[in-house]
Amino acid sequence: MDAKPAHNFKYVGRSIPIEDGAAKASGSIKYTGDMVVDGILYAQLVFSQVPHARIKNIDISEAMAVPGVVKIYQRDNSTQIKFNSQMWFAGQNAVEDQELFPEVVRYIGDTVAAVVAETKEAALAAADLIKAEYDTLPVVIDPEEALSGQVALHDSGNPFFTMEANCGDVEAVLKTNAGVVVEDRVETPKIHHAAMENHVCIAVPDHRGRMTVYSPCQIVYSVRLIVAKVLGVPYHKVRVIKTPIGGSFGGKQEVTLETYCAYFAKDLNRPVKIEFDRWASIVATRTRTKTIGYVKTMVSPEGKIWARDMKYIVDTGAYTSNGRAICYAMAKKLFRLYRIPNQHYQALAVHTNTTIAGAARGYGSPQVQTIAEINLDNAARHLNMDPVEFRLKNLVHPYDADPSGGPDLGNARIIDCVRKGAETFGWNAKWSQPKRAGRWQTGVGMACATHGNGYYGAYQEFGTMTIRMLEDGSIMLNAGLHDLGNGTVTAMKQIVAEVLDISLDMIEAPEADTDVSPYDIGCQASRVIHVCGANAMQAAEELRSLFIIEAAKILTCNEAEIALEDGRIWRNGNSGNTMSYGQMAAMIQQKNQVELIRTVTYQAPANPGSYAANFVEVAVDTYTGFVKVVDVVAVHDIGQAINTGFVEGQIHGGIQMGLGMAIAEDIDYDEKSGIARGSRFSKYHLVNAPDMPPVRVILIEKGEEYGPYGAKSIGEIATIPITAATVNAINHALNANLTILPVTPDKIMAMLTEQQNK
Amino acid sequence: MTGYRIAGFLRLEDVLREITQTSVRTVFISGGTDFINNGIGDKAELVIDLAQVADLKYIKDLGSEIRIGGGTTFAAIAASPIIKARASALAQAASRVGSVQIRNRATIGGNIASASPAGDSLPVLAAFTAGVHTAGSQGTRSLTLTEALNGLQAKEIITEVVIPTPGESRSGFVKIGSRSQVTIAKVSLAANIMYDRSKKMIIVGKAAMGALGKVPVCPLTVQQFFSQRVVDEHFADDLSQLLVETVDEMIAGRASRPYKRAAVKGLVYDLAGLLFDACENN
Repeated sequence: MDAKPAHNFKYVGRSIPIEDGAAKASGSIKYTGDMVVDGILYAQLVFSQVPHARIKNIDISEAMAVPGVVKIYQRDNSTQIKFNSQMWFAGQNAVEDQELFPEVVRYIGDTVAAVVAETKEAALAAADLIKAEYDTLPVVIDPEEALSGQVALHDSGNPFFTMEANCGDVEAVLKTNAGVVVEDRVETPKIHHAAMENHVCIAVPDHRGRMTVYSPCQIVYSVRLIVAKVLGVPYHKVRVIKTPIGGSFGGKQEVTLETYCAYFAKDLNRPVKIEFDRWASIVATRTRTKTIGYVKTMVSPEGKIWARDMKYIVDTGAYTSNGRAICYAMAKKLFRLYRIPNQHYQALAVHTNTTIAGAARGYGSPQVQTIAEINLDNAARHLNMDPVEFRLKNLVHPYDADPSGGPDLGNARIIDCVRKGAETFGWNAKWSQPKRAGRWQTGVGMACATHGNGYYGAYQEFGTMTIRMLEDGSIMLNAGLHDLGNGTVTAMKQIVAEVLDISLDMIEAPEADTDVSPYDIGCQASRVIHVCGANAMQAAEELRSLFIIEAAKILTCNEAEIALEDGRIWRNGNSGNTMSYGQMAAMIQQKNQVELIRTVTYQAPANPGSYAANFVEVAVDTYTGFVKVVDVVAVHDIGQAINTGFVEGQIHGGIQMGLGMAIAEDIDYDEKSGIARGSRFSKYHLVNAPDMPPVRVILIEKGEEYGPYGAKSIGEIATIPITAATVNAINHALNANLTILPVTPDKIMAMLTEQQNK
Repeated sequence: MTGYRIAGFLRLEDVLREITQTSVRTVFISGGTDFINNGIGDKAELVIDLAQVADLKYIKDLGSEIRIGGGTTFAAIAASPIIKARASALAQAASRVGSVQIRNRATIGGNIASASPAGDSLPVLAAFTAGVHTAGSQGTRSLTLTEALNGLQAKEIITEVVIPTPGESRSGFVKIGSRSQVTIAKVSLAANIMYDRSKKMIIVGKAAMGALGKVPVCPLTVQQFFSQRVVDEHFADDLSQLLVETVDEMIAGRASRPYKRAAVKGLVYDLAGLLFDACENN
């Protein structure tokens, strides 16, 4: 354990190692792919090889002849119930346009059929022998081309959804022609989440007609909802168990394989497993939306932002999924970072014949804020102003209101982030360094970001937890927790340990299982620390109160006289006569006949902003276009770290992902064929360890009223500011305005070649 | 349906006996780095593991040539004092193949047998005019690199790579990928030259470019350029120009051409740095 942190907490703030780290590192943990179930069958989905077509005929005769094949599913012999894979609560208003086996396939990777067989090999061999005949339909890949509506993938048309959000009067201000107007078009790519564990699921039916689904998921109650719908059974007939996860980043937030797995298992009354390979995980699950932004910002000569007009074209791929929700989520962030009196946001969501988009770390936030922050750097450039100085003139202050009507920003410490980061990075000296001629050009860039802390203000935001002190003094926290590898379980234990003053070894906090975990809306929306953490804290506090009330009866004293420390309890003034929590809990059972248990439903009362500023130095090889990221300073306003090591880990990982979006990652669909060029890791390039820059993390810990011990979210915001900061640094290095992401070496060389030819 | 027998041997003669006797469809696995990814075993009945065959693993300096066993790993080649001293380009290429883990398994014979256009060792072997020795059920053969890359016979093993080293030469290897390490070459360049340091002049030399086609390209124009060429301030730009022409010729009309032709200059400057600056500073 590290040195005691500044706030005099005993457990909170400490870098306690993640509880399953050793099991993961040694390989002893059982992931879903490792799980063995008696009598299990294997399903292999057959994917569409064309981007848009009506299925004319499917020939399964050769496939059926493969020994070991049990059944082949296609539209004719399967349910045709429609659903939306991102629904996470009953009654949610979401367009239901997905089916297990659609009549019309809408992207390469859509599901044509599925083989269920006794072995994985047989399923694979048979799937290869299934021949589909298609009547091809017109294809649209480019989201801007989709806007015309000439190719509609669904009855909802194209664009299938538009929305606006406003404050002030942008049009009137722009008409005055008073300030400088800076316009940009910025494009962000479709991105794969690249979790190490591919998508996988097991469904096991039982003699009572129930279905147990083992899934490395983010929201068990969402899986239950959609699986029950597809199976046509009441919710209590479906049990969903969240299994150890090998990474998700939003990629496993939606319900993808679970529906197929459970449907086949129910039909055949045998356990069924589906395991995707990397190609399928990239092409046939979910992606980050491709987003094209048009931003027009009007600034005063002194550098105050007067107005901003933004239009975002959001490509959600072949089905609606979260296409509407993400437009709302994007809008929210854009009004909560700068004091912009007049702002207009418009989102147009389109379908294209590409992989379905969905949740991806940040839920639209990285896309829109990257676009906006690149434009802000250009605004600063037009004013001939230092981008740090420019931002400082405009950033929000603590306790500002959200001008678009969202929840208040809370203790928003972005100005602290920028000041501290600029100082640590040595911004002033680096920014003003004169350019030198030569092969390598260096540049610096920075960007800011905000993100939320749950759903308060948008959807119902609550959860329930049950906490018990067992008769030996150990603690069980039953909650719908989903640890995505980031340390959720350990962090919850730290909060409970802090409240109850008990060692972490005495606390167990199992992950979500719909049979035993109270309701919770899962790991999404950066809600877990701020909302679930507060829920755990309140539950622990109520348990502590109950323990004290019951102990006072045993010790025949006032509750105020009870002292608790380090797992021991005594009556004040009688510290020579202490008892372990376990001894006391056992006596409470024997004498008071009371179980030490509390079930607490927590309703979040706020949704403050988390804030961050990243500073980046790059060196660009003007002969090859290679970008070397030399230095990163990441400053985060997180209220209070519950586990400092986890927070730093999230930031390092977030920077790796955000750098990928800036300079490397793109699924990249061929405009004609609809084939994803980046469908394998040999073609889809992540920034790897040797190319990772040193990352200096600075945490601003000034507390937040409703966060547990003042904590705010980190998981999603960690990946947001780095992308724009890096692109801004490249543009600074090259005195360019590269705005089509990722800024790859070939784009840099094309720009430099064009410059030379001028 | 997949499923094959796998056999491992410690001696080459046992491998050769097995392949002469067996009549089933046989493939070889050595480091396994391509075998596993590309599903090479899918259609095989017998897979012979060469990874433990001790007499395929060696690096011998015979003065006028260096002989490398086909089963020698890139980790061994990268660390070899012989290779570093006498064919440094090969050590450089070996040290940039895949990741550390891959280099510990991947072999030079496997790199040739896989014949990926982006194979890192291939332009080096071309620049050195290396030969390839094989053994199989039909006996032994001596092949040029191009012959070996254009296809081995069934049940034929690369037993040895021969690198001619007639005199003291300087060599270098550089590549451009999407990342600095663990990256597949988009374009690579190797050169091997005889150099007169006092006159700052290349006496004779050969260069090869990788990832432009099925086999490395050794432009004749570059060989002519290298002949009696003084390394002056125009050297890198002149060489770049010749290589740009090679790119234009080799991959005309390809989508990757604009980038590759633009990035050649970076390769040449990196190569010149390896061949001259570093040595001159010693």
